[in-house]
Amino acid sequence: MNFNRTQLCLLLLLATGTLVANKEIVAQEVEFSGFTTLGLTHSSGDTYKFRSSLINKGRDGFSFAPDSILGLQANVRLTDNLDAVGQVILQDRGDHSFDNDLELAFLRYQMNRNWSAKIGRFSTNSFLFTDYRYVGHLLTWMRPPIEMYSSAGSIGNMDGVQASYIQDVDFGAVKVALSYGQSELRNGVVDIDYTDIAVFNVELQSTDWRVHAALISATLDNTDFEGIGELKVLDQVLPPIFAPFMREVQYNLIPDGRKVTYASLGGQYTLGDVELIAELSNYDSDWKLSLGGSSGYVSASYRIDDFTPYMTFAFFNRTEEPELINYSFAQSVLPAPFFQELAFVTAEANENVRSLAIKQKSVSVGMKWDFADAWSFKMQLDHFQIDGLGGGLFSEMTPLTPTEKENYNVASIALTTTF
Amino acid sequence: MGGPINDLKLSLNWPKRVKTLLCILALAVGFVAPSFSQSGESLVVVVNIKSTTESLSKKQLIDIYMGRFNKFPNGEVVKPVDLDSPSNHREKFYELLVGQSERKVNAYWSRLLFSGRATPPHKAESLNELISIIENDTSALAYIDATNVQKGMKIVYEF
Repeated sequence: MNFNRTQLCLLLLLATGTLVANKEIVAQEVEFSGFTTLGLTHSSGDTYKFRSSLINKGRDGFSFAPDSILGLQANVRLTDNLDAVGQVILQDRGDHSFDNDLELAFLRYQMNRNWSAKIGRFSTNSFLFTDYRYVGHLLTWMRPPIEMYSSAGSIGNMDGVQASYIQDVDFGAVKVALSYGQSELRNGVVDIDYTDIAVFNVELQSTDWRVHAALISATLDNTDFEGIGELKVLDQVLPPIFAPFMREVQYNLIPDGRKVTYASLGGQYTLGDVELIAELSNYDSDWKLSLGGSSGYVSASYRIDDFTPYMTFAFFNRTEEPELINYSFAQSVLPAPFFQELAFVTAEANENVRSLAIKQKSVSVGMKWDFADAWSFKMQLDHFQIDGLGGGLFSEMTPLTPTEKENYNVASIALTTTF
Repeated sequence: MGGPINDLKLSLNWPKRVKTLLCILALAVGFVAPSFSQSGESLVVVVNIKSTTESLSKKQLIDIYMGRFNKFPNGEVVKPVDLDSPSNHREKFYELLVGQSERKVNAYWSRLLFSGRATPPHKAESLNELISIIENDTSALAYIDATNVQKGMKIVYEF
């Protein structure tokens, strides 16, 4: 009998439920909680459709879909040293499989005061806010800056094991975690597995500040998208003169067996009513459908009674130009008719590479109003400056990826709560 | 010739200055270090009388009540208890402990909860429930007015 990873995580939770039901084995203590955001977003223009995560659908005009979220959570205390957590997120995902909705499903064993271990599905803690990025009420912003966090949807959690160690120090505590496992990306266009994921996290915590660093390494595997079958035999069905270029195409679009790495460093500092946050990340990948790059942001907010105005500057810069193959080289070595044939055969795939490339910066201003305990209202304006061939964070409405710089504005309001 | 007169003025002004200084000092102390003793209350942190923990430092209390550790420094399980809101004691406890408002503390615990890191302290709905928990559970830890300390309790920290 074969189980996929989601089924295994659910089996873990089922086993947890069985233990809970048997009061002779463990004490029963189950708590349910949740959070929700009802957001209305308007995006301008007729080039891009807005999405808050790479695994979500793009939406244009007025829409409740991009920022509305429902999260449901169960915490189960099995013994003094054993507990379980399950969390489901309902959002505007491109792929509506339950696997995409299950955010957390793990068992945790506290070995002693300092050491604990997890098994199941848990957060990769890739960035400062990865593990509660969906809880709108706990974020000052409408959403974490998408230049960094849009991609967190694809590797925000993982299935595997984790060992963590926490040590109290003068200023607070230092927590170190090492994780190993796998994950998968399903966004309705591309399916891919992240295998052999190794994560190293360090977090320094104090009452007024925290600093977080993460290093993630993963191997890509089992790539699947429409037309991949034909792509895999292109080097055999086309004339031999094209073979080297077709192999280059295959290499660039099918990254199976190759590694990607993420590195991030971030900090959050609160001084009275002022809060400063900054993060920086580097993503190393030669997969042409998810090019490497660096991203980051700085954000400042100032609380005035129940109101918190804020401003954020963010960026994402890719590390290489989005071209499927080296067309200049191909043009220099192929006779003109053959080069034109090559360009024609690879045009659609090259357009996909261009449409997914990211290069942009943004400024966001907004206000959070904490009008009641566990309730808040937010409004935010985002102004994105998107370079030519750089709008990959959004989905496109145009048949060809814009090659000129474009401005793109998004306005959002939201009501958020936890329960 | 004017010396004695000036000296006299000085001596006459001296008590007034002292009073002013004392007032400023008292205000400053009151501003930076509000304490329960000023309001006639004394907040203490207690455990079950049979607990193996004899005392805790403020830093160790912060570690426990801010969810960093779920065990006492000696390795024994700890179950911190809060008083349910609205509770004057809860607000004052966190103000004294970490200098944060109840709303900030609630938001902090929501972060820990929804990131799957920890669950908030159990909230006792009444003082009687809190006393009962402490008296019946050797791993419980709670803050309480000093006048409410019972025989089955042991004070491990005083503000």
